Amino acid sequence: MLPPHLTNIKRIFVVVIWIILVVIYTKYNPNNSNYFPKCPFLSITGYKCVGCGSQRAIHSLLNFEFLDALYYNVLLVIFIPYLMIGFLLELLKLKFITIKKIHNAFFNTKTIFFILVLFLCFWIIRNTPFWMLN
Amino acid sequence: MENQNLPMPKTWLLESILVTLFCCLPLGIVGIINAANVSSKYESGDLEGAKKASQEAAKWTKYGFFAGLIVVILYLVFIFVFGASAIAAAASDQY
Repeated sequence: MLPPHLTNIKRIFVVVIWIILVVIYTKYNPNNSNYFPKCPFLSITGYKCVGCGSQRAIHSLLNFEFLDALYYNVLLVIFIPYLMIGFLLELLKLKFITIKKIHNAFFNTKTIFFILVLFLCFWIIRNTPFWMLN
Repeated sequence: MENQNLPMPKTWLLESILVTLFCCLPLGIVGIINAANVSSKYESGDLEGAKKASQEAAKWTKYGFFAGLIVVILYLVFIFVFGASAIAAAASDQY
């Protein structure tokens, strides 16, 4: 979240932006407001993209409504722990040799291809009648 | 396999996933493919190639981030210029 090369003023700026975003996404429901950007892909094609529902899912998570978050975008909820572990491994990979090994396993080619296929499958399946969370 | 002792260059996988979910789907997918490229070159011992792939991955992920940011800014400008009611009318047509 805070890259080490930033100056202090930029760091403060980044923190303030994060706080503003968290407050906005906690307080306001994207369902009831027009000020949240709509997905261009959905607007143009009528089909949901991989990221559709992310803003509503974040709103639900910030309000501890976990089932709603799963309903809006299950992939986002699944990937939050993955992203957190991944960023932690990237931070620590230069410091410890065991962390480097875990890092390399975490980012190996097969895993990345699996993620790619998962995203593409989710994109297709969530637009079919087989997807129950509609 | 002597290169395995050196750390893997940054794959930009995590940033690409975030871009796919929040900003710009097509460029995020390109970012994930580039991340796979970094990883596969590193695993085959081609560290130079992996570094180049890493720069390529960084480029596409940043393009995706800024494309998403521009769309959001344009959307907000549009909303404040034309008013929220026009958007509400357009959105209600969708459903």
